[in-house]
Amino acid sequence: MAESKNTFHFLVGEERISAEAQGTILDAARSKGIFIEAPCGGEGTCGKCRVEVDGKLKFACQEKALAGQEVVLIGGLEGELSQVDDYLSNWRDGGIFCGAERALAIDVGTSNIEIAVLDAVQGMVLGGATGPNRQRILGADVLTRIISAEREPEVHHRLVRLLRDSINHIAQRALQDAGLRTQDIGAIALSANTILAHFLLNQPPTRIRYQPDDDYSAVGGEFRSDEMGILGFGDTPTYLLPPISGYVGGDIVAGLVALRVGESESAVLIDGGTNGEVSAVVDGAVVALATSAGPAFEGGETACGIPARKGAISSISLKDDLKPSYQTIGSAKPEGICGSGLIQLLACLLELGVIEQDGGMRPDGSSRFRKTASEGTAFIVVKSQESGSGLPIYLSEVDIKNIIRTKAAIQAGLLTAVERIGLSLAEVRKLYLSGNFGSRIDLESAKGIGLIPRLPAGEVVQPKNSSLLGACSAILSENFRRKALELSRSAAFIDLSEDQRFIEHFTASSFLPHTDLNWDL
Amino acid sequence: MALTALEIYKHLPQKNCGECAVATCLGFAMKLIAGEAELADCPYLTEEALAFLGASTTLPLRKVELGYEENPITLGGEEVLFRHDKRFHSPTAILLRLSSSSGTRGAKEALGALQNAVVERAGEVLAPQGFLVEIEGKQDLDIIEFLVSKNRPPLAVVGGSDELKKASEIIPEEHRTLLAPTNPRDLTSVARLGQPLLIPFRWGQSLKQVAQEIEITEEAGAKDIMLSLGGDWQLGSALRMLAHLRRLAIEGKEQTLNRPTLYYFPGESPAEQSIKNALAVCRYANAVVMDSPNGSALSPLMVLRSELYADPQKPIQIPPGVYPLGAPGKDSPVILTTNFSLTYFLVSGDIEASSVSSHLLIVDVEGQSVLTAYASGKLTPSRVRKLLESCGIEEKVNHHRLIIPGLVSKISGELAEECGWEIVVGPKDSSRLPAFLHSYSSPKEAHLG
Repeated sequence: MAESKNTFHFLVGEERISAEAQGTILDAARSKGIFIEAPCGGEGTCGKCRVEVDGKLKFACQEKALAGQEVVLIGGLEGELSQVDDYLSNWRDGGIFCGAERALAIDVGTSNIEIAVLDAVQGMVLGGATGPNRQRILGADVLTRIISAEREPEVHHRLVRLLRDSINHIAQRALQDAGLRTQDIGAIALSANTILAHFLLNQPPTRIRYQPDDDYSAVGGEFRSDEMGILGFGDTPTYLLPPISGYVGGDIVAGLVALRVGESESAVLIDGGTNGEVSAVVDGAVVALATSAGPAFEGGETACGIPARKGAISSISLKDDLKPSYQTIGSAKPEGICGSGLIQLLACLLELGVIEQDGGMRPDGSSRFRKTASEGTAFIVVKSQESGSGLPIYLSEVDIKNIIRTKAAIQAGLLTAVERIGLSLAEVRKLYLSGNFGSRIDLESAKGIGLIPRLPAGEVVQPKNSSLLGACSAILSENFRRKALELSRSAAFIDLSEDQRFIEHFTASSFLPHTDLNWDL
Repeated sequence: MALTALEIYKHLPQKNCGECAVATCLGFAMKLIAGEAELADCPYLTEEALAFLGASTTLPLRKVELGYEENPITLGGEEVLFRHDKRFHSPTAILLRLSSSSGTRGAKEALGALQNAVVERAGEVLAPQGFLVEIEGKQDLDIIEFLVSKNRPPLAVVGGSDELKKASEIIPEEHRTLLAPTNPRDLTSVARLGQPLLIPFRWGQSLKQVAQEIEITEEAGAKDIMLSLGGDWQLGSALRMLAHLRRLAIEGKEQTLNRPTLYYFPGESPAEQSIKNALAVCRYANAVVMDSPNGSALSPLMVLRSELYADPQKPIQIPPGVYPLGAPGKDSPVILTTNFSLTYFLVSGDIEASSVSSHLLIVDVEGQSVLTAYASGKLTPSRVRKLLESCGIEEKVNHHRLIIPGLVSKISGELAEECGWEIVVGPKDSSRLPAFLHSYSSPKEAHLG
């Protein structure tokens, strides 16, 4: 197709996507099916749609698309590799996958990808890198990606390419970090949800949305790296963790096995990322489910929520006069609030009686509050002149509603899983919180808003990235791989779309902390 | 059944073979508890496991079937005390009492009355199920003969030992009929007739005495036994006893008294009897009797019964169609969402909060939320088109603009093509509807009164 004069380009990693220069950059992106988050609806108030134009950050919703321009999406969003070393000692049994000396362990997430470079012989992490899953530009959630892929084969290929490119790109940085070269790598292990596993193998994930409880064992097990388009590694033996169902993937199996969840006591694992997966385990019997938690705790769905990156308010407290004191990641000027900050802020406001059980706000008439028709009453955390973006950072009633729904989905998922296996919360001895926000949240605040139960007889553990940990363990241990296969076959999947109890729990959980104040006793 | 999924799982083969149509043994255990699978579905159960699990799946409240064998009604067979624990199985039977004075003509009229008493409500047909006949003379036997040869409705027959014997000669064995001797001394002789037996629980009897009567009649051959409470009781005591009996049965403390109950309280007026019966329905009575087919006394009773016995595990669905919120006019926005009740309540609540009067269109997607319905391929342009064509919205508005949930913005093009309406993509989350509706460029906004 000849490019007309009136085009400009979006840059996503190595990919250039041309678009017609008409309207704003946000309009142009939408017409090409490119996802740019804009919860304020393009009014220029949330500041989340920022893109890079000529090296400067601009609001995509306010900036006119100009012919010949280059717009960079998803810039240098690079976090630190999750610490997994502490847990690896569990799995140094000598049964190294294909006898490799050096290996890559990859956690393929919906939003982010983490890659660890392993010394398999010593069972140690040598280095690693993280980065975005560039598939994000075609949809923040996996469901959107399945459906777009189903509609147009071209989009499917693009999603496959974006995922593979992302992995290859981050893998190179991970190798650099560890001071190794491609040819040093003797094995690879990947942990992903079932949908991403399909994209990795260039298989259409269509079936999942119609038959989530079908047999998906074929998207797990031993492959070669070239089958997944992981270039530069030739036909390196590659292990993909086996899934439980269409909506509970090998990433959850990874966490359950690696942490030995429920081996010696009844336990629950909540993997809180972009989807919220909950598994309950007793005596080796596993039930697993996926709740549509949504990204409210990853910076999505709220006007001032941002991922846990530099400038994000990650912890906050309020004095009696509601004056906030907060810390930001990297001690930078505040740009927004990340999941852990949101939970703390909500818990503080609830405790001080500023918000009611149903999320409604009771302003005290001071300048800390403002009211708009579109967002209701909002509590202003940082005034515009003090923030890094020049926009105020606030929490509105609409935001709170969204957070409550996300919280309720996780809470109801937990209650349903525990109930269906025949436990009560009081019998749960260990609660594992992993995933992007699960591992960072302040437990007292999370208990305050009802996100997690108080567990009088139990202990809460916050491992970092249990999916990555599982991928590392899969490299190191034959025993691990055997257990993962067993678990993926025996775990029972609960399809929540058909579960009446989940709906009841969800409704009852749509309050802070719950309609039943003693819900966790 | 008091077993947990885990306890059942321990007795299953744990092969995860999938031959029971459930992928895993634990999943099968959960389905057993929910009553969605049967033990027989598993081909690999050991005999011990079958015996253990079979015993634990015996219904705590026994069941009795009445009526012609091809189409009987079931009384009892319940497993839970509270509906939300699982579901109730057998709605309370409502029996009409036939007066003996009018012979077969009366019986014909009664059958007519049975048909007249039918009420249709929310797609469900509500009706009394059968008759209670007191035998005093030959004409009553004629009535019975007429009924068992005609419509074969479920019957309860009250009378002395000899009358019941004669009645049982007329009634074919496969027409299960509840026999109720007027004199308790006749219980054992009537038990031998091989039909279900109604044992009166008389005011002043102890539970132990009733249990003894049950045991004696069982020895005499009675298989299906029901207990009746009647006019010799004070209303309050009778209601307490009904609840007490059910509690004993469900909590598994009682293996003899766990029988379905019939409550017959002759009232002074149909209204009074209807009220008393309503109280009994709320207190677990398995059958009640009405003296007359008076529609205004029967309908509320039947509606109450249908509400109480509705299955809470079926997804709660909102009937598809157009719902006016506020006072929408010809220019008001038309908003689409799905028929999952929770979705409906969230969306309608948020529209009401916006004070922008709107037409809310509910599309039938088998009770799923927007994204779930979309994900499982149920929220399709053709379903939306059929709704637009059939629900009468065309006459209610003078525009063709449909606001769809932002979560399904992807189908907007297809939808526009299929329906010929202009599609406006609404917010992803219903909580943003008020803001959206305020800025939505509708020519004129009608406000809630």
